[in-house]
Amino acid sequence: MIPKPIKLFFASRLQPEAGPVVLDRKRVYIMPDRYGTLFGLVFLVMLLAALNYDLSLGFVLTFLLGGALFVSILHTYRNLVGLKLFQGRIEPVFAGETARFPMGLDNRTGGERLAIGLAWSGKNQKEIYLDIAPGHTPFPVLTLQAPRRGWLKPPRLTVFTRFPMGLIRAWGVVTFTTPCLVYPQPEKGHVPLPPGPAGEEEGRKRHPDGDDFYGLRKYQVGDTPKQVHWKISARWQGLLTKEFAGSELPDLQFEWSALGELDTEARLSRLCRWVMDAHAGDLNYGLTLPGFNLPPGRGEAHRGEALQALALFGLDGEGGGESP
Amino acid sequence: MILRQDSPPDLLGFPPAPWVLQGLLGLLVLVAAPHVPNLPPGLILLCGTLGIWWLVSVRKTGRPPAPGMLIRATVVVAASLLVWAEYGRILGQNSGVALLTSLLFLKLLEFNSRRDPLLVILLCNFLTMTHFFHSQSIWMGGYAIAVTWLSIAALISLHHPGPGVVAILKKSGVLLLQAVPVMVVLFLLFPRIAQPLWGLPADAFSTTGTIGLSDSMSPGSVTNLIAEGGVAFRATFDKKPPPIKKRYWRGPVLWVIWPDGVWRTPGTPLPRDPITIEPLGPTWHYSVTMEPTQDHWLFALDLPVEAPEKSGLLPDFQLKSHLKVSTTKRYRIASIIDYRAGVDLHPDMWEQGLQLPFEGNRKTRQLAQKWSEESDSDEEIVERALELFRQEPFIYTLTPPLQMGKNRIDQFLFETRKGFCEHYAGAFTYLMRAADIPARVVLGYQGGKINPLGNHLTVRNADAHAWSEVWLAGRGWVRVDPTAAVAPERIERGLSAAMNQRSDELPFLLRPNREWLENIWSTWDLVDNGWNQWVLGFNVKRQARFLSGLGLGELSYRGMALGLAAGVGGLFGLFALIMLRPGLTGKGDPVVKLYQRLQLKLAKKGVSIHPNEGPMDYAARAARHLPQAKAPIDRFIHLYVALRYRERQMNKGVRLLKRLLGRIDKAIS
Repeated sequence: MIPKPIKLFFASRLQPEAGPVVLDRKRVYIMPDRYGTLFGLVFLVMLLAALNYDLSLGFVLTFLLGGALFVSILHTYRNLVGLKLFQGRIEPVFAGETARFPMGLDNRTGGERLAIGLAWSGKNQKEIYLDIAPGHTPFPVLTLQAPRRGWLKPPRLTVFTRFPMGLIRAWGVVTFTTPCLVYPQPEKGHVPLPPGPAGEEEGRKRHPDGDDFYGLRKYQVGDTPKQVHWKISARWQGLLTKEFAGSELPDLQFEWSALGELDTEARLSRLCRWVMDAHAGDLNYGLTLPGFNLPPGRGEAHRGEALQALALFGLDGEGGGESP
Repeated sequence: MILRQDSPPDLLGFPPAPWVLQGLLGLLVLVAAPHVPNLPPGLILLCGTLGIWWLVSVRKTGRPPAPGMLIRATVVVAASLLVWAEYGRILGQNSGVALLTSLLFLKLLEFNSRRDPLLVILLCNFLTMTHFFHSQSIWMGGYAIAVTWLSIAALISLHHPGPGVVAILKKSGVLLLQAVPVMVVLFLLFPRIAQPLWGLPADAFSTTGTIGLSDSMSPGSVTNLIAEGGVAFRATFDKKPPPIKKRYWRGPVLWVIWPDGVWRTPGTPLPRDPITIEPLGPTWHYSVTMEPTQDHWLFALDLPVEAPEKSGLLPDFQLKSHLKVSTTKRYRIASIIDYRAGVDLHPDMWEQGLQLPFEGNRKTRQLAQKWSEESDSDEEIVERALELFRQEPFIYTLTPPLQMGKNRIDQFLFETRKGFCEHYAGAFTYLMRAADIPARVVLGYQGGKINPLGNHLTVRNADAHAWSEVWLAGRGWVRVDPTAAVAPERIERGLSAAMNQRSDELPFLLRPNREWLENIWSTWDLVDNGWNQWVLGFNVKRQARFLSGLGLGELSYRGMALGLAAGVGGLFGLFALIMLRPGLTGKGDPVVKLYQRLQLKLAKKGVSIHPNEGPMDYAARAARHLPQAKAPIDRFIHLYVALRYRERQMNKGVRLLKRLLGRIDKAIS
């Protein structure tokens, strides 16, 4: 249907790009939108009336209005051309949450840009508008639902403006490469941390009144408020009570193979929850997946490594997320 | 350096801000206002109520009212019925305008999405144009352009209410000013047509009361016209205009006197004899630009020898346009002032020229009979009548006493003896007919003022005049102006001279001894004439002349289209060059340029920037190497960072940077 050169032309525009993209004149398209078409219709009717009634002033008025729309093409174009776009830092999210894609709009090279709109390409996408003062670089955030774990690629982005008259639309299209990492959804409900290595079961006798944090259990009547782990309780709903052990705890190792009764996603979900809980409890933990082993450790970076492994497990970098 | 910022609020939310809504209502009122005199009162009441309802709702809740379907339907039906009741139709010109106006206000009740205000604004633009059906004066033109300016501002405020009213009006003004050259090119080159594309509706242009001569003359009719004031037409002569007392501008010719004393044009067409005009002097060529009269008469110097196109010359030398003169009309014509015309009188015209009512004005008839018996020739009778006006104490006045009844000519000639040109012309013609001389009344204008600035002749309604023509054997129709016998200065120097003693009877502008007023008048008259000639009178012919004046000769429609495209395209290119020059769209950030100049200067002193060095580190290093310039370098870099990354007061900042750069230069050299 579509001739090949045109297809090629558009295809080259639609390649995902990593770096900053300047909306130069090759990338800015401009067309009247549907109200512009309606205006054209009114313009024609006015012109016909002026012709038929031989109204000289009618011509003046009609051409003045048409001329204003005509020069507004340049205003609209100038409002958009030269704008530099790049991606801001994208924070990972858990599956089921909303991914946030900050878009840097660099206006170092133009005058004031007014009513610049941003939206994912496609119909009925939420549009956001902003003004950009000269020299400013705001970071408006576009959101996207993240239903599945893996890499969530940003869909094609349309940057547009209808300023000043609202009848003509200039736009540019960019597809950025940097995706959002989507962790598996942590399992909900009461999920106790797994016991330590099998051979050391006896040595890990619990001493509820000891000093060292041992693990969490569901709140039971009689636990003092001090014993409640408020931070995690708030996160996972339902009160959890800290258990302490008298001796130093051994490192935890979360094993993929230990969860044989569950399917893949449920296992990842459980492992994810454990990682979160262990991190919150400031425990040393390791993670073993088929083909991946993370020795025990703690801290933000460690958690990130573990969660990324869970997010991408079995996906082989081909990316699990899909554009909506 | 990446900042996180939450999504800004939706700039284009619906409904728009209350001030935008109120502005929209203001626009609507301004657009509708000039139509108020032509709208049925019920409709005005309806629209006013809707407007007030809307305003109250917007002020109270910030939203337009949203009545249910039933109410909206009721209002629509009510408006249509009001239009129908007033005009008896829905789809005429005036009824259409009325309907459109009311629909615009009705739209206020259906304001649900961004589409609705846009529709209102577009309809406002169309409605603005309908004002030109009634008037195409400079004032109306200015008003329409002002309203258009506001409508563009309204469009902008819908899409971006942020910057405030003043900034929006400014932006709208810029757009409109830039549109002016485009408009001029389109106006000059867009092909005009000679004929309407389709028939005009039956009520086209028939709205305003006509100003101008009517086709009947009753006592007071010319006086009223003088009180109306205003310009009737302007004439530009190819050579010098004729002297004032020869400037008789011929209009309707009245043949019939009705029993009520009113002179009228004949009910049946006159016999179409070959018109014989024998010139006794030169032919005058000139063009006339006439104000709309909503009537068929065209005016020309007595006598016109040929009719302009789309008009006809009647056997009694009246010019009648085929179409009503509904807009400013421009035509070229030729006249001869000294002539012998209509020497052979058709019997029907003879009869028509002697017609009198069966009874009334006995004394007048007796006087005429007496003259007829005592005189040897018709010329002598004419002379005796004029003698009467000269000798007896007749007074020329704009405020004659009211004459009533069947004997008003008797009253005038023998009792009151105060009258205006219509009284004298009427009485004289009556006398002639009673003496068996064919005679008729001619309405028109006499005189006119030469505008010293524009070198054209302006004839005002105040120059309206009436005179007689009598048919004399061997000489044909001869003009006799009895007013000249009573008040010769009226013919020689115009109305204000004739009214010198009673200047308070005159319209303000015609009162004598107001030199400064004269100057203002001359200037204004010049502007008005230019407007008529160049804006309103720019028709097919004028366009052709303009194009051939440009050396383009006779352009085909295709040539015009090409010229149009070239002109508009050229303007577009020019604007693009100006608006999209590099300083505005890219490459040339002045702050970056100044930073680069600083690097060059410092590099000459041996402090080159490292590729991985930020401005702060670079400045610190430079200051260590060049301690004498530490203070200005530090200030420069702080300002640079602020302008680049935090941004405030760009212009001021750039100026300051330049000054600092100069100080660094001084310190290190």
